[in-house]
Amino acid sequence: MIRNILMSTFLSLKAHKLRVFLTMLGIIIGIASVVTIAALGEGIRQQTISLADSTNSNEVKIQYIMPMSEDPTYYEESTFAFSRVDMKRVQKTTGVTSILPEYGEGMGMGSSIETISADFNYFGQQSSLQLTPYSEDHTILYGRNLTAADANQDVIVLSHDVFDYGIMIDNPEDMIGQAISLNGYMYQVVGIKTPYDYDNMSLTGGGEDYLTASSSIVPRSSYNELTKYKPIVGLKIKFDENTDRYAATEGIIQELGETYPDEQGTFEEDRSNEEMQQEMETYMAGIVNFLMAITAISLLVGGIGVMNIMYVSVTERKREIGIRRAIGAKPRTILFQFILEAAFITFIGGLLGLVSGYGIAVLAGSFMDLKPVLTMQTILLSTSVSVLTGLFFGIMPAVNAAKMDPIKAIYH
Amino acid sequence: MEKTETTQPLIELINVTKTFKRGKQEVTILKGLDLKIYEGEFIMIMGKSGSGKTTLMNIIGFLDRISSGIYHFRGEDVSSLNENKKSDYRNAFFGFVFQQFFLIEALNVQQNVELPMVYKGVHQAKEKKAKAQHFLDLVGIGEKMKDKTTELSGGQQQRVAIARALVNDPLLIMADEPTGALDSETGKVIMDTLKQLNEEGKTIVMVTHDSDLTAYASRVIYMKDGCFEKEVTNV
Ligand SMILES: Nc1ncnc2c1ncn2[C@@H]1O[C@H](COP(=O)(O)OP(=O)(O)OP(=O)(O)O)[C@@H](O)[C@H]1O
Ligand SMILES: [Mg+2]
Repeated sequence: MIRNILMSTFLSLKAHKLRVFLTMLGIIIGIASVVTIAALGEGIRQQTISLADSTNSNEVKIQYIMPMSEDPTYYEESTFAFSRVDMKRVQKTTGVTSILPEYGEGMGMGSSIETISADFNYFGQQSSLQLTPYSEDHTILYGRNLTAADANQDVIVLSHDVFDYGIMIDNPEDMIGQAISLNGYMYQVVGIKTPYDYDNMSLTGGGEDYLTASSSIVPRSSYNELTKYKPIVGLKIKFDENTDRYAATEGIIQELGETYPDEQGTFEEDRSNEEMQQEMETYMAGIVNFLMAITAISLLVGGIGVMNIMYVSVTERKREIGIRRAIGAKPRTILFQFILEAAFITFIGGLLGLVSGYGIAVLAGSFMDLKPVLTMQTILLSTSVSVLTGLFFGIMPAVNAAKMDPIKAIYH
Repeated sequence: MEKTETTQPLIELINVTKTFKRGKQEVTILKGLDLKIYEGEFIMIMGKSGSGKTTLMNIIGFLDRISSGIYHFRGEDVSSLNENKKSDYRNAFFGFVFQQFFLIEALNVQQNVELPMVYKGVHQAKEKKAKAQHFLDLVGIGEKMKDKTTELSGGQQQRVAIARALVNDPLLIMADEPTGALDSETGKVIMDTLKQLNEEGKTIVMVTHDSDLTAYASRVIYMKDGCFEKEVTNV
């Protein structure tokens, strides 16, 4: 029986080629218009999102903020810089996928004296260090001064000040031959300078003299290299999707605070991006609502088109239904035939509508420099609405006609 | 042929009426008909246009329902049959030749003739084709198997309708002016075929305007304005 019905469905579709084509055309146009609009809309949406994405996603920036001064006219420049060690430590925090330094302006600029400051690290003891390029006029307490032969070597002569604040070590002489890190690069200590004689500080030369005198010495090449260094004033941290960035950020900030208990300032998350992101989201929501309205309208129009054409085509066939019933077709046999026909028409029509809708969207997108995006949601929504209306209005009049007395159906 | 009161009639109408709504008015087309049809009869219904012949045929064939009265088909009350049962009965017991033929335009000649077999559940394409061919040959248009019905003349369409009525080997053949669109020669072929079928045991109910054909019938019923005017039994 099923085979017979399939066969007669096929025959009926074949016999009504034009009507099948027109019905399908209605569905194709309905779905295609919805798909075109939805795909273009989704394209616009995703383009905007990816624009927004480049500034946000699960990413935070942690900054060091100086404490508010009581005198509002006085603004103290932050001297704090994050070190590579900080970065490594943060990197180890669970949920962190990547970390990028944000550089500030270099230090020690705008002065005629050649000194710069660098992050100093000796087995976890951190400090910052004043550096000056190699010259002969330094007095050495332990080890040796640099020589011309040290050019291009990663060696350093430490100022004795380092041991006054910064590094806690019983016997500074033990530092000779040790490795320290400057801005994350390893240097070997070859000498330690005689402590600066503060009592005999030249009054004319002022601070300049003091600066050079209290600086540690590196070869010229290293110095030049280090002047290119810019302090890390912020850490851009990216978390994986599963991490609650707020909690994780909190943890990192707390850890930083514990690492630098003596710093006056605080570590804070930079929220300026977030505000921008929120603005973006409001804007996006507007676009999405607008698109949803348009899609809903086209869905409605498409649905009405499908409904109309299916309804008419079944109504026109009441005579045929009556005749089939007169020669022995049961109501359910008629129904089955109409379900199959409607399913076939709407399914093929839906498929073609989807393809052509996407094609039109791609074509239109190429003029607008836009990449249309076909989402599963669009596919499901557009096809289910037209297929369901198609099926409903393809079957509903047949339900009626199939139950009628044949002669009534024939002379409907 | 014989009509013994003891045997159960195939069809029994008791005081049957049929009313149609025409706008707000109700028009009674069949006015209290009593009729018994026995197996093996060849009944002809005659009467003026509009007297209700087709309406009666439709009622007998379960295509339409009565407004009042009783219709027994082989002893069963038709009003108690559901649509599925009626469909099965139509398919198994009745062969219809409609006044307007009622062929399905979407299907070709062969497919039209095969349709009653499709609904009967005949699966074999070969069997269906062979039967269609046989009955189309019988009515003289065997060569039109693959033609579209819309490209046939009225007479040819009528013969397709006759072939379709015969193909399921029904108990009853209900033919509404089966020769109306035919020339007298072809008409005679059809009448001879019906006569032959009747002699093989099929019951035939036929509507005609042609009084020359009454000789084929075992009983002729004259209708007028929805009533039976008179009845003539041929011996
Ligand atoms: N569905 C209907 N609704 C309203 N009136 C109807 C309907 N069917 C038939 N009639 C009316 O019933 C009357 C009888 O019609 P019927 O078709 O039975 O006549 P008939 O005897 O077959 O005539 P003809 O010889 O022209 O075929 C006519 O007046 C017709 O208009
Ligand atoms: Mg008539």
